[in-house]
Amino acid sequence: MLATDNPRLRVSRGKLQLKNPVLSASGTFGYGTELQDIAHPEHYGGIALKGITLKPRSGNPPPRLVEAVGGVINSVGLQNDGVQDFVEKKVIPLQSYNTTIIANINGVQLEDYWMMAEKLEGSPIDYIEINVSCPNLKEGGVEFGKSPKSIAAIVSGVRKRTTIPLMLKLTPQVTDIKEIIKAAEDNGLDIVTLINTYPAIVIDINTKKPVLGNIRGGFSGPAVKPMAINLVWEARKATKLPIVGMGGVCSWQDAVEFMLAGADAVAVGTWHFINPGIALEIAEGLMAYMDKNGFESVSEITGYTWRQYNE
Amino acid sequence: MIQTRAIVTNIRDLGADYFLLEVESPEIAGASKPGHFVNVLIQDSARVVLRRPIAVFDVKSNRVQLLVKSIGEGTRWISLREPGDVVNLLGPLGKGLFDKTDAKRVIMVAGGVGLAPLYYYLTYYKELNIKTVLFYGARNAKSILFQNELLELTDECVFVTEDGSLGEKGLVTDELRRYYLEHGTAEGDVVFACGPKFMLKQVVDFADAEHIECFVSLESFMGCGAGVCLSCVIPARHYSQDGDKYFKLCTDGPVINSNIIDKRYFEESYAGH
Ligand SMILES: Cc1cc2nc3c(=O)[nH]c(=O)nc-3n(C[C@H](O)[C@H](O)[C@H](O)COP(=O)(O)OP(=O)(O)OC[C@H]3O[C@@H](n4cnc5c(N)ncnc54)[C@H](O)[C@@H]3O)c2cc1C
Ligand SMILES: Cc1cc2nc3c(=O)[nH]c(=O)nc-3n(C[C@H](O)[C@H](O)[C@H](O)COP(=O)(O)O)c2cc1C
Ligand code: FES
Repeated sequence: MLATDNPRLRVSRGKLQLKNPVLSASGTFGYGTELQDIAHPEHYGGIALKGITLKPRSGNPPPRLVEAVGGVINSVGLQNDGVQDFVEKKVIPLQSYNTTIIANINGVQLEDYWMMAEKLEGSPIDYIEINVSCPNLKEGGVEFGKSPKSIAAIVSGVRKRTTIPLMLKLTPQVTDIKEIIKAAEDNGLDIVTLINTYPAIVIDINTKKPVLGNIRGGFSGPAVKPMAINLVWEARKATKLPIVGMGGVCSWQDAVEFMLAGADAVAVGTWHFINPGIALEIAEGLMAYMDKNGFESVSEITGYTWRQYNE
Repeated sequence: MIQTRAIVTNIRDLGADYFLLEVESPEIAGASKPGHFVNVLIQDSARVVLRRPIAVFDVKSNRVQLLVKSIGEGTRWISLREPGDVVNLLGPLGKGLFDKTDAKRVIMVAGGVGLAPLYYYLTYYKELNIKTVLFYGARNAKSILFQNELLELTDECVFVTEDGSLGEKGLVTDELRRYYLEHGTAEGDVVFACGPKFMLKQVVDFADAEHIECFVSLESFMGCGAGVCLSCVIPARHYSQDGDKYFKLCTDGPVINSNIIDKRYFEESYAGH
């Protein structure tokens, strides 16, 4: 049996039900099957597919990716074929896999989220991840993520239209994380996921122009990890809902750290580009860590450190 | 596609910042076709995060050869490998385009390190007994690599240098034009080109005007190299309803038919440059 299927790695808190605590982060794992020679969908507790919008979008002009110390800055801009194509084509091949499927939805206006929820209801996905933190949308996107009022409206509207469990993906630029989470929780949220990328710009000093075609992009990768862990810690204070932590997960050690801070599960993003086989490695690392540290199940790691300072 | 820790079996300093790295990887060697590339993990560097894409230059039984020009931290790291070192590779990546086996004559146009992806095609066409003509341009004589091998592999080989220190003086594209003026267009010609953008633009314009099927090997900033991140896109000639439409260079290319590329891509002013 692969470590990814070991029952000691099962996650079960509220609506978050996963065979293991390793997810793929949206936008870094395509539609789930592209990397399967190395990163099989079944290595994951869940896979978040590339973000979708109501209508097809061609995305931002290239270049869309540039490096910075400790990470990358992307301005992909939600290139996708729209929710209809997603339901008809993208999710179908994934149904047969023993993992959970997360649809990452994005809107330029509140109603977009609601209409997408309607389209997704009845499709074979396990979670809807409401993305209110994309820095690559000119309108909507991350601006919604900073306003408890918008969050309340989006989540309640989506909740009314679907029975699929709801995740909310937070921006690291949250104003008051307690208020944001409360606004979502009061309106039917099931799971908190965080963080998305940090807005960032790189300028080429020779051409004296921004490197990215869209000028600005979102920063992710190992450098954001300590900030992401801080936000998981803060989110844990704000809610008892399950938390999926991400931002710079590059190894099983990083996964453990997120969990000690209060995450029930973690997602791998950027590091898929460097080490596509990472999910299996994390699962194996978690097993060895649990044996060495006397944890019977992975849920015992969750919040272990956090509790000592907050209870 | 596999991820592997390959042992360096040989590395040759070819001069002019060029290096030929040879690694042992039966899996990648066995699966590689012309047009494929590998993503090399650069280690021990705080600045380099992403893997570096490098074309498969040639395959010799279980060994894969990479021709690398050292231009920055990542490629310098590759150039400093020694026999016995381990290099982490992801590959083969790309479409591995090799369906032009019905070509009557293959015209290759290489500019500088642009020779890298074309060499493997030359070895294949040689095996298929298809006639090949190579136009290979570089700055000077020192930067023209593998002269003997190329003379051996091709039916005709034209070296071009900017300073005239070897072969013809000038630009490869001028020699390409001259060749066609002298020999005329042949039915069943196929052009392959790799090199700087201004060179590619000239080749593509020429091929368009002469109605010759033309394939170019392009570069872009890559993240995953495997079709999941949508970072590497190149604008496609045919528009979608909401504006531009892109294709993924890593999985639709990097060698692609020039007639699907939006010509704006070849302009100096294009942001993706
Ligand atoms: C499909 C493909 C095949 C290639 N094959 C070869 C080859 O066979 N031999 C060879 O010498 N070079 C090849 N290159 C180019 C090579 O990848 C770059 O020279 C290398 O990435 C530069 O890295 P660096 O750290 O040395 O330089 P840096 O200082 O990081 O960058 C110098 C320049 O290289 C380019 N570059 C950097 N990172 C990337 C990236 N991830 N993807 C694309 N371009 C990048 C940018 O234009 C940048 O301005 C290929 C590129 C692509 C896309
Ligand atoms: C190329 C790229 C594309 C992304 N696309 C999306 C997206 O469509 N939706 C989304 O919610 N997050 C997207 N993200 C953000 C990631 O899901 C993740 O939140 C972020 O990268 C932090 O994790 P990491 O440091 O492990 O990459 C993208 C990130 C990258 C690098
Ligand atoms: S490099 Fe990721 S899709 Fe091409």
